[in-house]
Amino acid sequence: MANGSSSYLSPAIILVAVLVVVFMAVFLAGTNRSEFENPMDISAFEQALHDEGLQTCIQGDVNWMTTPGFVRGLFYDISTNCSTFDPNRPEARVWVLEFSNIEARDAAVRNFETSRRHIGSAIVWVKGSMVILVDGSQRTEVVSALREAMASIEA
Amino acid sequence: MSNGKSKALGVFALAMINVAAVLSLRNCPSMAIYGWSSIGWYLIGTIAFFIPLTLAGAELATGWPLGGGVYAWVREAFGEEAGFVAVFCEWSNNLVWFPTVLAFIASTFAYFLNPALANDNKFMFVVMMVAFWGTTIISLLGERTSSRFGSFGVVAGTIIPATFIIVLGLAYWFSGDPISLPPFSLSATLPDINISTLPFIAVVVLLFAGMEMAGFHALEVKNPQKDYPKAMALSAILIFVLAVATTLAIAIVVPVNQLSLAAGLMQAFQSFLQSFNLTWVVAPLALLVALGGLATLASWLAGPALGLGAVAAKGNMPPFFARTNKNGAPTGVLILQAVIGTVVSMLYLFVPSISTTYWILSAMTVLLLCIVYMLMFAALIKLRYSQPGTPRAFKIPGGIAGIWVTGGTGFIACMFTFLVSLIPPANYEHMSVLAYAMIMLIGTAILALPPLVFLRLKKPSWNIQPKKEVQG
Repeated sequence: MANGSSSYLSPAIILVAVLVVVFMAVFLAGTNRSEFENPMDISAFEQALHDEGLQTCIQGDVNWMTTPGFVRGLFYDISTNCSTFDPNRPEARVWVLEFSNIEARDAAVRNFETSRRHIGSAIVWVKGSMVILVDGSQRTEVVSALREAMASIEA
Repeated sequence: MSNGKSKALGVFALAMINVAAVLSLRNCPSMAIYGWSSIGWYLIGTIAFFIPLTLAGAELATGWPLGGGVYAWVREAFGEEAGFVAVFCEWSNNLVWFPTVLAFIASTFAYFLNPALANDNKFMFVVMMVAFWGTTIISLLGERTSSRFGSFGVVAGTIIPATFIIVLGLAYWFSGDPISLPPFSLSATLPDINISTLPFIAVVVLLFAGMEMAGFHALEVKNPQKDYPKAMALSAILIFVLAVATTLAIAIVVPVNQLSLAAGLMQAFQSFLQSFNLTWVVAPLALLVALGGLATLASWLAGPALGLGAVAAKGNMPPFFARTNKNGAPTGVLILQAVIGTVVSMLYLFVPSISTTYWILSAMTVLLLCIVYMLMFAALIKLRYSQPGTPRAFKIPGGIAGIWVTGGTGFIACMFTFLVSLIPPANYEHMSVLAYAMIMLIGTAILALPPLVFLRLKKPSWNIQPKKEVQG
């Protein structure tokens, strides 16, 4: 079944040419990046939660030590009523992450969206320099209120 | 694709092909976010999909140990068109999915050198291409070589790191230090299923995609009737135990606020190892995990290509696709997929606005995989009726009822995953559900239906080996 090498030559040349053209096109497109036009403040996120009647039951720092471009991050376990909050039944787990540049922010989103074959119930919002992620167990009404909160944030 | 040499694959090699295809450490931190309830989620995926797929793979592979795997099984049940569509779906799913696993390999490898490199697209591109073309070359060296590489990669890059994490997790548990999870209770292991979390069922179903991969290597198996069931059992146990135990080890040690794959897998491992003052292990661990990623890539790269090569060898595609080398590797298919994968990888890395487009394409691959598995489960049921007398070394117990329960459960799980995948993610407010579903369905049709075009254009000249019946 093995054929002579000459029969491979023409398709190979065409394929290499296509590769070079595509590479040049996407490389040039990829170098044209802009900086953040409207960096978001983390307090805007907290205010939006408050405005939608959401409470923070658990809050913690995100201490990523070696993630390039990562500036700071906060983690929230949120609920509509923290007095009934059960840590084994979280209602919405939110990570708010700030990055110093677009490449770092986009890499984080890409990492998240492609970390598994199906994103499932996870949610990603990009607001300026911030990436806001929701993952883990959820309650529908809490996530709905969170979506309203996110829609109210301009970035 | 046997090349006339002695059969190359035994139980261990077959099992490692499946473990490499299915088990990935990168799933563990995202599952750990679910805490104790990750046990319940894993059980849902196991009962709804993993066990049915394992049993179906064992019965089909021992009844029809033919080249082409899924292609051969679906063709036996529903004819040439359906078999061709099944294997083409699995192959085209790969083309879009390759950049994902390549980016994972490259960003993990960056931790071995310098984590900052993970944000450098040029570094990422170079590593991705070396990994992709290197693995393609290994596949071109034949199944014996690629299976040895895969076995080494999965042991060194997945099983050893997973075992290391599990042992550290156990040590932490028994040390008496406070664990990062709330107190254990049986009710805490139950998943919280509601409208918001329903799509997560698709995640846990697809965690176990790839258990059929060993079936593509049937022609190289020493004793398929005996070796397949043993390999399926071995790989299933290894996958389930390692996945659950690694997830719980991470969940016990690392606080949930540090767990998010937005930082990549190695950041989660860094947090884990910091608890033991073992941060120096991060770099060598990154190297091993990248190697495990290469084993995963090799498994998915070779299997469907062999299947498509078997289709082409029957004259259903132009001769280019049927080309093999002296090692029996499907040269034409492997080279073509490497070229297409290279182009998609470039777009993935270098075009800033590609993110949404790529994500939609990536979501389409889920639909393609669901089509493959729905056809496979349907074939399992159909063949019990249409070919009841065909000897199967492994037969799903329970007679017709057992077949319907197994095949039906798997089919429904895949159908559910298919339907859930038509719903846009919650942050896609700019697109209606209907518009998103239509884009997904049309895109999937474009990626799934070229076999019907090939069969319509089929020419006698495509059949370059008319007298040699390819077993598949």
